[in-house]
Amino acid sequence: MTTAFELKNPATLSDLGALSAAAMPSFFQLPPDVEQLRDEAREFAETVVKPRRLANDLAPHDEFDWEIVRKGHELGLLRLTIPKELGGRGVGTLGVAVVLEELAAVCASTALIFGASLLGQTSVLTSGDPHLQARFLPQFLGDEPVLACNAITEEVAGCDLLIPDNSPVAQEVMTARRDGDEYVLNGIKRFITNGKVAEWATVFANLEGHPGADGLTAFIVPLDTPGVTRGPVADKMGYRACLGTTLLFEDVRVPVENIAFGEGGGWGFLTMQSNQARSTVAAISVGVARGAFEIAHRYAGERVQGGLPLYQHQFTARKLAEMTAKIDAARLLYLQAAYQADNMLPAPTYGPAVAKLFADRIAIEVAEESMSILGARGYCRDYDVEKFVRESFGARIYEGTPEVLALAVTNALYGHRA
Amino acid sequence: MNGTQTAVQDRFVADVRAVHDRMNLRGLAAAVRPDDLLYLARRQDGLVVLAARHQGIPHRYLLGIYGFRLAQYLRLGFASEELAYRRALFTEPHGGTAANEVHVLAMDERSGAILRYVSLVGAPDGAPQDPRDAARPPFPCEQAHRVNLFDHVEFDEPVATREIWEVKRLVHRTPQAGDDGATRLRVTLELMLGFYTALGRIRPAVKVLVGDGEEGVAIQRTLRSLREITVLEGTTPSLPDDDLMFPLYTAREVVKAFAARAPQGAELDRLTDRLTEALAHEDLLHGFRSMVGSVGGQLRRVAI
Repeated sequence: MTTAFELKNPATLSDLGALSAAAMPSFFQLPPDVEQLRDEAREFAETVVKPRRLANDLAPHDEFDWEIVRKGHELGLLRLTIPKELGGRGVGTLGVAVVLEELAAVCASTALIFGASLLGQTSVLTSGDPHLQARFLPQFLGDEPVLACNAITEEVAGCDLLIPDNSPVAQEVMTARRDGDEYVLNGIKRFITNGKVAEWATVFANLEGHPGADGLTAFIVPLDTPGVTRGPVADKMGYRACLGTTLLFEDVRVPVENIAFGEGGGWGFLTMQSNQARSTVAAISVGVARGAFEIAHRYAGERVQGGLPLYQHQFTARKLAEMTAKIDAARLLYLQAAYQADNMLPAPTYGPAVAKLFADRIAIEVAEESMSILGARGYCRDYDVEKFVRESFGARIYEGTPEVLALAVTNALYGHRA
Repeated sequence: MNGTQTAVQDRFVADVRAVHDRMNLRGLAAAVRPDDLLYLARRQDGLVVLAARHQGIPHRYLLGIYGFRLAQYLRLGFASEELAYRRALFTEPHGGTAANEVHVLAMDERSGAILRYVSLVGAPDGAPQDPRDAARPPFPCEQAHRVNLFDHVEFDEPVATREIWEVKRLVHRTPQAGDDGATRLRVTLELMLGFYTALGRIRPAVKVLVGDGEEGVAIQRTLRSLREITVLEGTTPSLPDDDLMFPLYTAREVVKAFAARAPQGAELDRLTDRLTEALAHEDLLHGFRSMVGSVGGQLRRVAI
C-alpha cells in the first residue's frame, strides 16, 4: 500500500532524489562500495519493503514476514559485515548505518530486523576466533536467510549493563556455571529482537560467583540447543514487524569453545559493540525522521490553503526548515560516529552516544511535526506518518536510553572515561 | 592431543559438516555468468544439473561448493579432521586451481542441496606444453603418485597440456532418508550427462582425462562410460602430512593413477545419446546396463 497522495509536479522542490543528494554533504564522500550499497538498499526499501509495510504493521504482533528477509538476504543485507573473502559484503559500521537509514526511511521495523542480526554477528566477527567464524558465519552464505540476535536485557538488568559505573552492581541474574568442557546457562532474557526467529544468539551471562562487569561473558548459543525456549512475543506500540521475544535458558549446555572474547571478556566487548550499535541505531532514527519528513515535505508542496501551498506559509516553512536541518545534522553525527567506530581503537564512546542521543530526539520531533503538517491525514494509518511517530519512540529505548547516553557523554566531558 | 582437545575438534568438524548439510544454494544456476555456464538441465521433479567454469561462479557460491567438498571428504575420512580444525577451515582451500576448474553439480532445487558433485581441473599452465616435458607443472594426481603419466601412456594423436583435464572430487551427499537405489542411479546418470555435455563444450577440446582412484570403485565407475582406461601399476601415492587431503592415500587401500582418451565428436554425441536413452528407459537399471554394454570399455595396465 502506498501513501494516498502523489507528487503532481516532480520539477518542484518536492524532488526527493535531489533532496536526498543535497542532504549528503560533498565533503563527506562515502566510499564507492558504500554508495553502491546505499543505492541498492534504497531500491530494496522502495520496491520490496514499502508495498508490505502497512500490512506487516497491522499483522498480529507475533507474525513474521520471512519474504522481506529473504529478499534482503538476496541483496546481501544479512552478511553486510562478513568479510568479502568469507562471502560477505565486507562493509563496516559506516556501511551498515547507511543501509539502515535507507530501510528505516521506509520501515524502521525492517531496518531493525537486519540491524539486530548484524549486531548478533559482531561477537563472532570481532572476536578474531577463526573457529567461531568457521562454525557460525557460513550459515549466512547460503540462499536461505538465517538470522542472529543479541541477548543482553533481562527483567532486572537493562541499563545497568550499559553504564560503566553501574556495572559492579548490575543484577544480571543469568549465570553460566562451568561443568567439564561445557558451561551450563540459566536465566531469562527479555525483549530480544529476532529471538523468535534467529538461529543463534550472542548471550551475555555472568560466570557463577563473578557478578558485575568482571564476570560478564559472551556465549554463542544455537537456539535449538536443548533447554532453550522461545517465549512470548512482546505486543509493541511500534516496530511491530520485528519480533521482540523472551528467551528462557534452563540448564542449557554450551561447549567451552563457544565463548567470544574469553571468560569475563563480555564487558569489554559490550563497550565496543555499543559504539557500533549506537551509531547504527542513530542512523535508524535519522531514517525514521527522513521517512516522516519526506511525506510532510511532499504534502506541504501539494496542499493548498488560503490560496498558497503549505510550504509558502511562514509557520509551515519554518517547521520544514527546522526539520530538514535536524535531519542533516543528525546524519552528520552518525556518519562521524560510524567512521570513528570503524577507524579508531579504542573508539570513543562520546561520538556514538551523542549521535544517538540527538538522532533519537529529532526523530520524535520531526515525526510529530510531520504529523501536525498532515493534520487529520497524519493521524490515519494509510498516510504512514502515524507509523513513523510510533516508531520514533522505539529507538529512544533500545541500545541506550537518553539517560544512559547522557551519562556516557558527561563521563567523557568530565574525563571519567574516554 | 588430550581428551578435551579431541572433543573440541570433534564438535568443530560436526558443526562444519552440519552447516554444509543445511546449506541452500538454490540460486546458484541463476547466478552463474551465462558465458561460463556449460550445461544446465532442470527436471520436473526439481533435480537440477549444472556445469560451470570456476570463474563464472560468484564467490559466495564457490564457498558453498568447496564447503560441500570439505564436508563430504571429512565424512568419508579423506580429509584430515585435525588439519581442518587446526586451520579452522569451513571450505576446502581453493586458491591453486582458481582459474581453470569446471564444477559439475546435481542439486535438489527445492532444498538447494548439492546431491552429487564432480570437478574437472585443467592444466595449471596457461600456454600449451608437451605433457612429456619434465619441467611442466604436474596434475594433482601426478603430484601424489610422483609420476609423469605421459611418460608411460601412449596416445594416437599428439596432446598438449591444455587438452588434458583431471577428474577430481567425485562425491555425493550424505545419504538421506528416503533415498532409494533408483533415485541414486538416476542422479548419477544425470550427473554423467552433465559432465560429458560440459566436456564437449570446453575449448580447446578435451582429448585426455586423468585422475586417480581405487580400481574397484572410482576407476570401475569411470570405465562404464569410457572406451579405454590405462591404469598405472606400482606407484605409491602420498601427500605430505600437512596436506589437508593426505588421508586420501592412507584411508584407501590401493589408489591408482589413470589416463584415458576423452570421447570427442561423434563418439561423445553417441555417449550422451546413450545416457539420455538410459534416463528415459522405464527400467532405469536396465537402461543403465544397456548403456554400459554399448559405451563401456576396457582396462589396460602399465607397470612402472
